[in-house]
Amino acid sequence: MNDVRVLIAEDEAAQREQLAELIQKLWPEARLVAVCADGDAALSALERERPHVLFLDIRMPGASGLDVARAASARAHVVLTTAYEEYAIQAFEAGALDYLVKPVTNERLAASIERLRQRMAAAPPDIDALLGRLEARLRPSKPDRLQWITASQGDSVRLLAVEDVLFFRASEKYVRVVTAQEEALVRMSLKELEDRLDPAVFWRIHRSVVVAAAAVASINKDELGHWYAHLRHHAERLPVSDGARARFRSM
Amino acid sequence: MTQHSTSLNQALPAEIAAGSPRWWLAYRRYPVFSAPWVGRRALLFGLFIVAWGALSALGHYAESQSPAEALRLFGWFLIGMGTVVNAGPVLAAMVRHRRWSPERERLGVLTAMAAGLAIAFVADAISSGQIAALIGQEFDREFSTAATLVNVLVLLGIYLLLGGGLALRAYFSEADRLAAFHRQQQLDRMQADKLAADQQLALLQAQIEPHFLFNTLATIRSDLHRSPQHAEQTLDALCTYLRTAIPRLRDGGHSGESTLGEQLEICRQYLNVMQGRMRERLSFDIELPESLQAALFPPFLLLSLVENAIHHGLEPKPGGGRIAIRAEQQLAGGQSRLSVCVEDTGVGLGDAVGSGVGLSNIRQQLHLRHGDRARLSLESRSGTGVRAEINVPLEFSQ
Repeated sequence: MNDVRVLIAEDEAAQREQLAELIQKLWPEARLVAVCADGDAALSALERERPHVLFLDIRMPGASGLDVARAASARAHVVLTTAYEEYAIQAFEAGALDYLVKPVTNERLAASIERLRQRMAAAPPDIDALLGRLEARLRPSKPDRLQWITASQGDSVRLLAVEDVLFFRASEKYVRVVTAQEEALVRMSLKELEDRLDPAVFWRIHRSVVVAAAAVASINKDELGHWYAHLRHHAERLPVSDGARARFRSM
Repeated sequence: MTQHSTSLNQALPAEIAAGSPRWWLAYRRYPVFSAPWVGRRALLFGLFIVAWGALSALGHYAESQSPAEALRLFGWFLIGMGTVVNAGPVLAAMVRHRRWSPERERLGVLTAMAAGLAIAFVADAISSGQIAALIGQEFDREFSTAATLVNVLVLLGIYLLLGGGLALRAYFSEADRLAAFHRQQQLDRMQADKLAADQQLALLQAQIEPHFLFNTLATIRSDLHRSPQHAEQTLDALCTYLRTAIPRLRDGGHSGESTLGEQLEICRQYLNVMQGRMRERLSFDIELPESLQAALFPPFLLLSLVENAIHHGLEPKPGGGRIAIRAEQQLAGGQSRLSVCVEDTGVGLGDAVGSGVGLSNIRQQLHLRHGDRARLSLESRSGTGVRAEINVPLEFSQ
């Protein structure tokens, strides 16, 4: 019988070495063609070595185990290893995707190898859809509200807490993010930012301005008849469109 | 019962008091028909009665030129109106201060108000008679029965209005309002407790994060045969870490005080464990001046920063890197401050924007403890590594 070409990807050295050892012991036909310490190495080994079976840690530096699994879909059989995400994979246990829970016991690994042996005859299944669903389950379910903004200031990047922001003002390619103490630039459109902000807290008052409503002290008309918002903790006055003015008036 | 849990001599909680906070309605802040309620109300009504009485007396003086007569008119007016206004409430207050059972008290208050009406009727009749005699005006009392009845009813209505009849409604709803208030208070307290418990749980979960625990155990298991000495080291580090981290939570470490020395020790143990797992991919260094050992520092914030540095900085970086923790005393605006930095040589701040929960929690905790006097800042210099700093007022336990 032909050798079974096996790839292992696991970032922690001790676990990696032991898994390699155990597989060789429990599965004499297996030949380890690649033992990788991160996802990127696994991706290139996948192309280079054409393995039949992949043992992939879900959490790895570089590409994740799921990324590598997707690349291997319909080309090889995949076993995922995880310290904790089994709750998410359990649903797929009977299906095309096998998994091992860490610490990996000899019995559990033997059972997994047995299943692989039986499956070797068939073509590797397409697991793209499965992985998509798995990824959706692993992603935190809370709304993706913006809480921090990474803004550049000279050659450094800093995090600004969104709750400190007084206003965002678009200027050409950048958006200025302004707090009471400092300001910085983000390379992102005002629209993209606005979509991830709490609309009850941050109001779009002009095509170029999103402001923290609580920071607005008053709305006034200047000599030319344009409306401006004055802020509590900042000297800059912000243009207000007619539509937005109605919203302030309704308060 | 709930009714009696509130003292009659104290103002009601602002949330349920019937009155507005304006001074002239201040009596309404007290329980209806309590002594302070009656007293303050008498003062308020007294002002009007005195003013009205004084005007009538002045008018009579202008006509009769007799100071004695004007004074008598003033006196009778005060007696009459004073009784109409106060008789019912005073009697009702006497009932309430007996602190009877709620049913009995309600009956008593109703009886007191009825008696107050009767007294008001008599007092007004007498004072009106005297005043009429003084100003020489004869009331024609020869009404038909129907007219008399209407007259009496109108008078009763007026007496009831002036004599605190409207307050009866507030009196009867007071117990309900108090009960609702206490229920709400209890609910608020329970919610606050739940929040505290949630935070403790979140902390516990962060300390003994399943990923961390199972991965560490997996490493130890792998090393058992091939490198028993290494397995032993990692296991020892895990035990020490758990021992330093767990009791903090049980003694309510979250709300209690902890020192910078303790917090850095937890970080050191955590890093020891991680070093057992990541081996040469992780090195670290902790710098803490002896003088800052005992400085107060909120629990588990530093560990969160260290975990971030590992998860988002070093673990994703194939070659690993280094973590340096440094504490120093600073002087800003005449105040001593404590600055603790966690710096890593990892992949840096990647995304343009983030929705990290961990950092928000740290901010929240700092804000709860120090208000605006604490600061958390994060920056990444030209894409290599992150420098996180927590800056708080320097304080020592008394």
